[in-house]
Amino acid sequence: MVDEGNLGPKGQGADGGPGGGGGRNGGAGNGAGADGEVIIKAENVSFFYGQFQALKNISLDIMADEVTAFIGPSGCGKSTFLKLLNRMHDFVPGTRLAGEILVRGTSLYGPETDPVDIRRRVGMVFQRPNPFPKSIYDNICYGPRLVGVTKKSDLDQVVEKALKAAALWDDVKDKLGKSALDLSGGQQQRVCIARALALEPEILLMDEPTSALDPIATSKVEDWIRGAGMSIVIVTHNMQQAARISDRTAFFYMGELIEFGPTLELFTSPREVRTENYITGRFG
Amino acid sequence: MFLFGYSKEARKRRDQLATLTIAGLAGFILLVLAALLVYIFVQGISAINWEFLTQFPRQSMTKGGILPAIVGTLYLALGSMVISIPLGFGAAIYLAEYAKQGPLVSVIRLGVANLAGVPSVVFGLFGLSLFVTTFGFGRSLLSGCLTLGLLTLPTVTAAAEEALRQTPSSFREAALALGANRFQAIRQVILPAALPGMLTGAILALGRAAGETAPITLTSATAYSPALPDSPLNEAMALTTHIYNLATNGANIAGTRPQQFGTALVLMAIVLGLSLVAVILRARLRRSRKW
Repeated sequence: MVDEGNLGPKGQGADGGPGGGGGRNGGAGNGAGADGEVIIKAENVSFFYGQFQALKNISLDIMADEVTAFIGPSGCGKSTFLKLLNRMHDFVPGTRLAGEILVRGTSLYGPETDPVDIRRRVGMVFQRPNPFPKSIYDNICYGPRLVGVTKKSDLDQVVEKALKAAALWDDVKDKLGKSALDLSGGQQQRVCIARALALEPEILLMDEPTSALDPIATSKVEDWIRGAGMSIVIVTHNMQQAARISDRTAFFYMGELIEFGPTLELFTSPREVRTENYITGRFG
Repeated sequence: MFLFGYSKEARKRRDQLATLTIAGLAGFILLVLAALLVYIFVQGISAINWEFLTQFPRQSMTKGGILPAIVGTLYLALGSMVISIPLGFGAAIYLAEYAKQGPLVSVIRLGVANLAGVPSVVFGLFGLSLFVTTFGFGRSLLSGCLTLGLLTLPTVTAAAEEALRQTPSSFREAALALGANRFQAIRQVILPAALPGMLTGAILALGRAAGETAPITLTSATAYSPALPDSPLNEAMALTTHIYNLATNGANIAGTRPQQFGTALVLMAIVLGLSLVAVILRARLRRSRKW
């Protein structure tokens, strides 16, 4: 069910600034206020691969303009849950979903929802940099071209804006025609970020985006996430990373959401013993 | 360090021996191939001249040239590709991208693989019965192309599917995540990446189509034709059947040896030429991919 109260004025179609949005931009640090707009709302989500239940009755609210981190040991369901948020499981045979996920009030898996439309609104960056074997320019243009942008001047603008937003413009502005595969790993991952941003998604999902990168490239991507000022959900293996860059953290374990709260709270005074054991390195 | 170094000499010798054996085997294969090519070249080159390539056969095919056979073989080879490439690539895309992986698809895949091993004369008989007789296309280029198209279909399909399956799934995910629908992801990302590999199968199939004898003997070939075919429903000469006719029931079997080898030489040149075009095309496509 849609919780209208949490959605702000979006439902009325008014663009005159969401009611709870005023105070967010200034203090986006840890422990951001609870009065923000909910962008993704999951209610009692269970997910099955055949007979195996990968997610058990998960409910959580992801807030707009915040960085939300999913942590937990391998196989805990954090990536599975992330991929549900832009329907990347659609092509995996034998999967089943129960429960409801809403993106700004739209049912993600509702019968009228077009998965293609959802994937344009909910962008995704993957574990390994996966630029297409095309030029940097054509990589960035891929999404906009799909929605029908063809004018060269428009595409030029999109490319510049997206690359600037991904903090890559200065590195590559003189070699946009070169293959994206000639770039370093960190630059490739930022091309993938720019490629996702070119569609101006409402929220960006990142599935362990730095696990294939070296420390310098990792810190560049982390810097970008911290400064992006947009709604981001990031899955990470690395608890320090979650602590460094996220506003809220969700801890998954064996397909359950154990604890979800402001990052600082979760790391300094976890309510659950399992959370404490995990973040202090007693298992994982 | 000494723990790892004690058998260094022995290991080095073993490695050298292995290298030598493998290089020797490869060299032997190359030698056989070269011997074959040289033999055909030496035997056939005396027959090759401008007249041989541009004239019709004369005097019960003991004199003159082989123009209609060259043209017929080109029509058959290219025509069969027109049939097997769209069908084979389509089937491969279905099998690799759309079909639910399960027993049915496994059976289809097995069927395709087995079809590739069916003797070509069986395809010829099938083509004779279906295209020539039942469909009423008669003995014609059309019947020959259709038969050769079916014959090469398994090769084209299997190679294309393999190439598609080797395309990194991360490309597919990336395209879908950017709002591509399934067909767009296939057409714009997966197909371009897989195309060089898919063409490899088509190259092999093209060579096979040009070199087949039995299927076209049954469906399209004529021993002698006074004119070039001007309709797909015409019979046509072909290089392979021409060699066969000259060598088995010609007017002067021994005396036309040079023509027989000359025709073989032309056939090989055509197959190599067609393959070369495809190889160059593939190399150009491949230059853009690195992963």
